[in-house]
Formats: sequence, C-alpha cells, structure tokens
Amino acid sequence: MITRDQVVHISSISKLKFTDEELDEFTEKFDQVIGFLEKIKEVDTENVEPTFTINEEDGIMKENGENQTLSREEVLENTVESQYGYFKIIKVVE
Amino acid sequence: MDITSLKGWEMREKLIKKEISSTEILSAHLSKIDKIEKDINAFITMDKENALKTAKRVDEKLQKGEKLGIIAGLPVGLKDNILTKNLRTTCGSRMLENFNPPYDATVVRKIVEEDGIILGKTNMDEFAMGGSTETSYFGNTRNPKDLTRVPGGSSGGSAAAVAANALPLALGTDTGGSVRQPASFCGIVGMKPTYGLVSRYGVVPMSNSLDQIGVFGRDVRDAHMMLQTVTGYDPLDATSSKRADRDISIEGIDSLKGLRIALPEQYKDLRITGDEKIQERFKETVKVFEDAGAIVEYVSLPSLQYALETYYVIMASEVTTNLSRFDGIRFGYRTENYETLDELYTNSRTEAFGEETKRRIMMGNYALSAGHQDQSYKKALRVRTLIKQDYENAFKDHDIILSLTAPMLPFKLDSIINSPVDMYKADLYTVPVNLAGLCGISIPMGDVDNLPVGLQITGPRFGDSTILKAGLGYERAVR
Repeated sequence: MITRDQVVHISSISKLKFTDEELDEFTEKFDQVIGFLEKIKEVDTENVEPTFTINEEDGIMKENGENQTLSREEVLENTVESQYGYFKIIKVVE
Repeated sequence: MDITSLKGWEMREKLIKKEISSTEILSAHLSKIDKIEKDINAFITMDKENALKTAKRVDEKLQKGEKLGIIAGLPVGLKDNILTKNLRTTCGSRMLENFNPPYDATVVRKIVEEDGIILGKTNMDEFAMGGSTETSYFGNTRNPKDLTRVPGGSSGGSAAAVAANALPLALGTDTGGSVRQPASFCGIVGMKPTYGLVSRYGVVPMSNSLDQIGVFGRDVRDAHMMLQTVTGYDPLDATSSKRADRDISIEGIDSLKGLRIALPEQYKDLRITGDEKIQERFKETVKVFEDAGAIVEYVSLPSLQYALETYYVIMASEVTTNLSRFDGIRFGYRTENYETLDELYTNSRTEAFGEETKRRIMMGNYALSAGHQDQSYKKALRVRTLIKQDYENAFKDHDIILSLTAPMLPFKLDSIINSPVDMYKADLYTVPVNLAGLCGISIPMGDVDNLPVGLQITGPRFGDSTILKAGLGYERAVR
C-alpha cells in the first residue's frame, strides 16, 4: 500500500493540487496501478527487446536544410502575455 | 430527396454528374445540423463561412471541368484534437478553450487538396481520455440512435455526427479503441489504420506510440474514401512510414471465399454480464463468413492476457509526458491566482484539467517515478513485443481476425458502466490492435435490443486493403 506522503510527492511532481479527500482516493487508485505492474512482472521477458515504436523503419532522418518555421508573431499568438517579442512571466530571479 | 441520407460516395457521384452542387450538399447538412445539434451536441466549433467558400470553389471547379479530388464537395468533421490553422482546437478541454493553432495538421492539408469541405470540429473526451465523450469540457454528446445513451468515445462527436447524417465523413483518433468503439455504439463504420499509415503531424498527442488517426463513414466504401484522402508518408512525422505511400486499393475480389479467418481463443471465455445476445449475434456473423466460403479457425494469442495491463502502463506513462507541455506559459489556460512560477504551473493545470485527465497524469507519474521505470514502462514495452509476436504468428496462416468491437451496448448517460472488471474486459478487444500497430475496422453487424453492435476485423500491419475488402464482402453478404 502506498503512503499518503508518496501520493503528495506524485502530485507535486505532476504540478497538480488536490483536496485531502482526493489524495485519499489516489492511495486506492495507485493500488490498481501496482496490481497492473505485478501482473506484467509475471511475464518472462528475458531476452525480449522492448518495443519503443512499432515501426520497422525506426527513425527516418530528415534531409538537412532550411525548413520553414513559425514566425515570432505566430508563436506568441496563443500566450496570455508577451512583451518585446518574448513570453512574459513573473520575475524568477532577484 | 434528402441529400444527407445518401452515402458520401453517392453524393460525389451525383455531384460529378451535376445532379446536385457542392453548395446544395453543404446547405442540406447545415439544415440537418440546425435541427439536431441541440439534441446531439456533436460539434465544439463550426466553420460555416469557410465551408461555404470552399463549396463554392468546388462548384466553380466542376463548372470549368477541372479535375475533382477524392472527396470533392463532401462535408468532413474533424475531432477537436486535430490542429486547424486559425480555427479553435480545444481537445475538449478548458486548457485549450481559446487555442488558435498557428498551423494545419497534415491531414487537414490533404482534405483541402482533395476538395473536402471542413465543416467543424467535433466533441471528444478531454484529451481523448475516456470511452463515452462525457469528460468533455463542452458538455457530453448523445447517441443519435438513442438520446439517453452515450455515443462511445473518445471520438464520440465525430461518430454521432456521421450516424445522425450531420456529416458523411469524419476523422477521429484511436489510441486504444477511440474510433472503433464509438463506431460500434453509433452503428457506423470506423477504422483505425495501420500505425504509420496516416501522418500524426498536427495531432495533439495522447500516447504517441499508440495514437493513430482513424476514419468514419456510414459504409465501408465511405470509410475507404476518407482513408485514401489522408494516407501517405509525411516527413514531418518521424513515425510515418514510407510504406504508406501507395493506394489502399479495394479494387478486385471482395468475395469472402477462401478467406482465412482466425478467432482468438482468449476471447472465447471472456464474458461480461449481460452480453449473451451480443455474443449470439457475433456467432451468427461468423456464420455469414463461413457460409460465404471463408475458413474459420481458432488460434491462441497467449500474451493477450497481459494486453490491458501493458496498455495502461504505456498509455499513462506517455500521457503524463505529453501533458507536461501544458504549463500556462506558451499557450493554453493561465491562472490568475499565482505569486510564484511554481504556483503559476500548478494552479493553471489544476484549474484547467478535468478529473480523468488529472487521474491519468498521476497514474503515469507514479508508474514512471524513481525506481519504477525499469519495472513498469520498459517492462510493459517488452511484454508489448510478445503481444506483437503473437499477432505476427497468427497472421502467418490467416488473413484476418474476427472479434467483437466491444462486448457491450451503448450505455446510459451518467451511468457507472457495469462493474469496473467488466469495463476492463470491454477494452480488451480494441487495445491490443494499437499495441501491435495493426489495422482494425468496426462494421455494424445489426442490432441487439434496437441498439447497434459492431464487428471488428483486424488485419496485419499494412493489411488495410485486406480488412476493407473483407468488410465490403461482409456488407454484400448481409445486404
């Protein structure tokens, strides 16, 4: 059984906040994940390579050359705040 | 004549013969949508203005005698996780409520090239996570066959729109069944092509190694027409295959005679509460294939017993990684309530993601967190190899695999579906197809209790023509 502290840690690295009740529910839900992991642990996978991608032609390289990219205006179009052509966020260094 | 009740290919034939115009096709669908959309809620955003312009352009082309594209004049719906330049793309989430993509997905470009008319963006479970289109920030979609029931999901808006004759064709995405299951629930054809056949460039990723764009139509021929439009190698998608550069031909023999069919033994005893009539219908359907001269055999795919656990671990891990891009800074929702950068991230994500999305991010982070990665994600990827090999073996001596698409009927809105164990078993028909990168199509096999059920035909990698032809053969056999 996973502890409450571990759940809090996972929520912190997930950058998500939960109420106390929600955190309690996660201790149960994580048991399900543990169950999944236990089940696949049963399988003998010695000498079996992992399938990261299903394609036979793994990693087709692009020709090196000039490629069209988005303009600065297009990139900034969906941000909440921008200034001098940059994303604007709060000051993070003193 | 009600134009909207025609199949897409019939509309196109009439268009080419100049019996109807592209503008007429579009207006017929627009009036249909006006009538039914308040009940169905299939769309998040409509694009009438551009659709009308495109329809006029197609009519001009026709008048001038210019060559018309594969889906000329046909209205198309796009699941709202497919980027459309300057047309809002939300993924069914508050996070992207005001997101205006700066570029088009490759499939959008291809639809435009083939003279299709993009009419709108369809509703979906938030970030494609769910099987009922109930987790959308923009309200749930209802099943046109029975408004008290869900259309399935996550591509429920696309499926419902096609089933309700609001559109002849639509695109969805399928990570573990999100095209095939809603097709089954809405009584239409839905196909997940081979992984790598259709470019994913410009599709908001959920689980990159499993996601694939899929197509909807009211019969196999329409689904094929939609697929032929969007298929092809794309250098902008590193997982696009060079083998995708060819016609997906359905010309030639579509007889079922001599077709070698495998039935997975693992599905024989996989039963859920109340599935008797569905199982009975499946048996009758297999008999249709046998009576038409197909050879049916049971095969064993032993690793299928681990498919669901493998799927969940891989999916949740990839979901977590993908959704970390939503930081409230470059695009998407930003909270007003923050004093530090960390609060900006955390509060933006907490306020804008729905419950199911948060749950999967947490599951994925748990599976990937320190000490777990080798035992979980990589282990799952090794089991995935075994599942893939089982299918390769089955396809050595067989052309297709037949199964149910889902062992359940569309369920009531806001209901807890059977037991969690049943839910879990329900995905076991569609999920392995994504794990192994195969192609699968769901085709209506009649009704049970006046609700549609789907037959799933699975084919080997790049066996897309084979399953389409088998589907055509089946449609003919039951006509």
